[in-house]
Amino acid sequence: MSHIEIEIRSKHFSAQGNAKPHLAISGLSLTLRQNEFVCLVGPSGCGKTTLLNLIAGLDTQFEGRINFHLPEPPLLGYMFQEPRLLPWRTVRQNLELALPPQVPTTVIDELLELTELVPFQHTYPQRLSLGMSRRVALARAFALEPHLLLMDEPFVSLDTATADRMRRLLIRLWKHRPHTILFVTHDLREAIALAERIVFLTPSPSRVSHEICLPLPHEKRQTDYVESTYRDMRQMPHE
Amino acid sequence: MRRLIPPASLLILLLLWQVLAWWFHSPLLPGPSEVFLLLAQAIESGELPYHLGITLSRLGISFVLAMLLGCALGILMGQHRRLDQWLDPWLTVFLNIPALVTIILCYVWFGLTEIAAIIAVVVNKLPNVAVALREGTRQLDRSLLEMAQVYRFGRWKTLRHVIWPQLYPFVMTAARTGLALIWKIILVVELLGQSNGMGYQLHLFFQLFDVAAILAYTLAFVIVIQILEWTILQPLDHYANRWRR
Repeated sequence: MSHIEIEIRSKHFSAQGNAKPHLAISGLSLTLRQNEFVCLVGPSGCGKTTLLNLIAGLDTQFEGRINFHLPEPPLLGYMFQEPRLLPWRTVRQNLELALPPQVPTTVIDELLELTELVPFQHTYPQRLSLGMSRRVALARAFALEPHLLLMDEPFVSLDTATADRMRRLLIRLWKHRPHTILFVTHDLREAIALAERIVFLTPSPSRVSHEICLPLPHEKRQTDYVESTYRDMRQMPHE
Repeated sequence: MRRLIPPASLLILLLLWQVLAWWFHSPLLPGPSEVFLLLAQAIESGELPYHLGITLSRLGISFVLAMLLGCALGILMGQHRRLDQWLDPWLTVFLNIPALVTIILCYVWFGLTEIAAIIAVVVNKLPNVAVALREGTRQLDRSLLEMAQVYRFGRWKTLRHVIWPQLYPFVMTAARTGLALIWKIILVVELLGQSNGMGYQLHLFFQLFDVAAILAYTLAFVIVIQILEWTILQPLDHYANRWRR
């Protein structure tokens, strides 16, 4: 696998009830290099989740193509906005179920260790806090060594400190087991803290407006770096 | 303390019964002691176990059939809107046919046979199960199904780990109400067209005005159902709810 090409000529939702038909995406093209961490930033409602669902194959009603350059169907990890754990299975079982048969279960122990979930591995998800559930979902997304990891605003509605810890954990996991990551957010600061490349989307019908590369290694991105970059980007005139 | 309430309340019922029996002092209302004695005798003679066994096996077969067919139909109707639109009126019709009519028609069309008896019970129960399971299928969590699709659970894993746990409460409710309903219908079925089973026996005692025997048989019935509840249904419920907070 070398890179992933995404080209959505158009995606529209047909009229439903009182809602008018809606063109969500039009002429969007994006290429993800191997093991690259890309953040998608755009105003809310611009079709970011729609795009992830198209890439994940959950929605096949669109014009365009998504090419993973793989002989077999790609393995995907998808971290949804909500953790989406099976409440009737324990933390460990939730991870095991998502694991393809060829991957050894030792991966789970390793990930439980990294996410500090070992003491909770036999707990049912309803007893976990939101932050912990998100950590399980994160571990699950990494467990199967996906060709592409999709993340849909996975850290919203966490308090700042927890969200920060989750981001550091994500970077640690990613360094430990490199993957191609497509991370959707509306929070530009979050994107600056995480991404190697930030891709900005226009309001709907969305397409790529411009992109910025951030070559600085993650460990050197302190708060003041994030803040100054954030100010610079705000001031930059686009288009 | 809480655990003592059910036995205490049953004890009060027994006492009330005894008091009434003393008060009226009539063969039409025998006291509990007399009924329990008769129950013991009926068990010893093998008569009650024989008829109860026959009824229980009819109950078992028709219960399993109604649950299996009803679940399959309900799940299909919950998944396919078009099918649901076509079959829904039928369901309403069958839900509203009186049990007695189905029983009579089955006997008229299929003769006074074992098969006719079982068909009659199944036809009466099936629509209820289908309605319950249709509701359960409609309420399946789409977001979990999407998760299962992305993580490539496949058919079997999705069914077992994602769909079944969500349908389970609906199946349990259908089983509970189903058991109660079938219990009642099957006695009528036996009364109308069989020469054995609890319904047949009760009919016999009715003609003899043997109230003590009727109560003894009823008691046996109640005890069996209570045992089913304690040994099978409640443990299943408990197991299925272990993950809830």
